[in-house]
Amino acid sequence: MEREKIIAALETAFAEISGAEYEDEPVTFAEFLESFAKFRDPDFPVYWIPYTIEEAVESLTDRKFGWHEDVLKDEWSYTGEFGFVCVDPETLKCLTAERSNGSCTVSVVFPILNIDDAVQAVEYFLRLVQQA
Amino acid sequence: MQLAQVPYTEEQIKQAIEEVWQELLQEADAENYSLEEYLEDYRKYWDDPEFPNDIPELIMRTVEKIVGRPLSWYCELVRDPAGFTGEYSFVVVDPKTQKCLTYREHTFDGVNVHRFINVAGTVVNYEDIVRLVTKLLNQIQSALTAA
Repeated sequence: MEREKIIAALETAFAEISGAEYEDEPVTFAEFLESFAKFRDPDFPVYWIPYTIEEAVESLTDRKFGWHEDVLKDEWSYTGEFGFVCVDPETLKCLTAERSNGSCTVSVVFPILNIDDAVQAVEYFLRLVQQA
Repeated sequence: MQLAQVPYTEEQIKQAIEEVWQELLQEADAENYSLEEYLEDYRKYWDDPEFPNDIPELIMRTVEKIVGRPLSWYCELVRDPAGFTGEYSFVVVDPKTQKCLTYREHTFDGVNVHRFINVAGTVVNYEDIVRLVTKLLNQIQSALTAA
């Protein structure tokens, strides 16, 4: 899928989630990520980031999924990484589960600090949905 | 997959917790540390990164002991800006089928469907551990019955 289409889906999703669609000078998702990467403020509405990724995936696939997201932190602040678990509600299959070395991991973790990272995360989930 | 012990009683859960605790102690070479003592320290120091990590291991190994085989799981230690809240959020997957065993749907208004893939609970004391293990077992049993 073209990068422009993914970015448009991310921006639409973010405007809806953050309420930016009702503002005169809305902050874009790309700007929001830039600000997050720079300040890592503990009061930042950081969950808007994974919610935006999830909403963009659902809008681009025209499907709903079960999600769990985790904003990773170290002792001091956000690491900029996000853990995701994605489940297909039709089959109950955990799409992010992966078998390796005899065990099965459940989540995937991505660094998301700019719009390129966000696009890559969406592309990863689109591939998972396609493969399922 | 079926639960190894059905129905499971609170006594069985408590016995399984104790067995798993002893296993964890052996693995850590710390034989004289009761779960009660641990939980007292846990309440004092739960913002120490080392402490909360033992709780998910204890809970899920207990669940696995009662289910009768290993499960795949993910646990989020829920934090707010002030730090760790004491809440744990588990996603459990059957490693053989890769199906999520903690998935459920709920509608609050009769129209919009909300999809939950986790089971969460706050752990402050021993009874909270028993309650969260029971909640996980009930959800897993319900997922298996539906399948």
